[in-house]
Amino acid sequence: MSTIDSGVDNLVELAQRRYEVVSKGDIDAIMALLCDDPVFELYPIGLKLAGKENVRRYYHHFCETVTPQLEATPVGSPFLSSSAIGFEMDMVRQGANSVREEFRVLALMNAEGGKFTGERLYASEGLFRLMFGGPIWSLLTPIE
Amino acid sequence: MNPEERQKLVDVALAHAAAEAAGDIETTIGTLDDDPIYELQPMGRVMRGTDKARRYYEYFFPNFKPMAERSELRSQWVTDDGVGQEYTIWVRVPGGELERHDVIGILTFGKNGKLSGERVYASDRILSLMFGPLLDEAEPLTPSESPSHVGL
Repeated sequence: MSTIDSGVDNLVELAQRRYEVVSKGDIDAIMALLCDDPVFELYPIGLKLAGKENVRRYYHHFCETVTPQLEATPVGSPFLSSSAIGFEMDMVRQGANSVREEFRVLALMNAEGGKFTGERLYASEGLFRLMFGGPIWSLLTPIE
Repeated sequence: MNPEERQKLVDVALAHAAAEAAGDIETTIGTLDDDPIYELQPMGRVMRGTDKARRYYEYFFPNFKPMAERSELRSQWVTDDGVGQEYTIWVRVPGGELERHDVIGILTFGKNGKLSGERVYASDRILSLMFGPLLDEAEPLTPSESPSHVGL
């Protein structure tokens, strides 16, 4: 069954570095771990965010606006697929008027040549409208 | 879990998938624990029990499978939790339109060498096509039914 037989350690290390720089909100370091033309695919809503500049804008939005609102808890351990490292995560947003919103996301992060080529994210539209909301939503295009 | 135990459960998961592909209800049900759980994400609902699993397959095989024209396996993985598979499925819906759906199914390992069920990530639309009227009986997922939370 499919695991990545070569480069596993590198992929795990790459994912750990990414987790750390995203946690710090270090946009330049985040972008340095991505390929030149990253693509973030959002399922099941079937939209994508493509291109380095768009992804940079997304991370600015995510780190400045979204991260402070969300408490994330990993579900199980990260896993290796045939081409990616993935994880499941529960996210909680404590919104205005003490309204608590709970979300689940599954993310698959593909890598090539020591850089991530993007992500395939499976989550509800409600979470995507939070993560990719504001000025980012208009940058999303349909997945063909 | 040692490698031999994990491989045995992987074999059960593959047998489950093969029985599903063959439309064999009894063999499919036979790979499941006595109280299987089908977790539906991101809608956050759950169906429990062998009776509902059987009713699901009794709907799924004659109603959904004929609509699924083709599928493409995008990725798959194995953990101590189960076997995950990411698919793109093209479904010919009533009216003739061909719809694309992207689905993740994680066959979760249970006790006694069987599966505890499945965790599915898919749109409300395809879950409705797969489960039919049974979807109305799905209950909200409680935190205790989620897999254990551990550090990254």
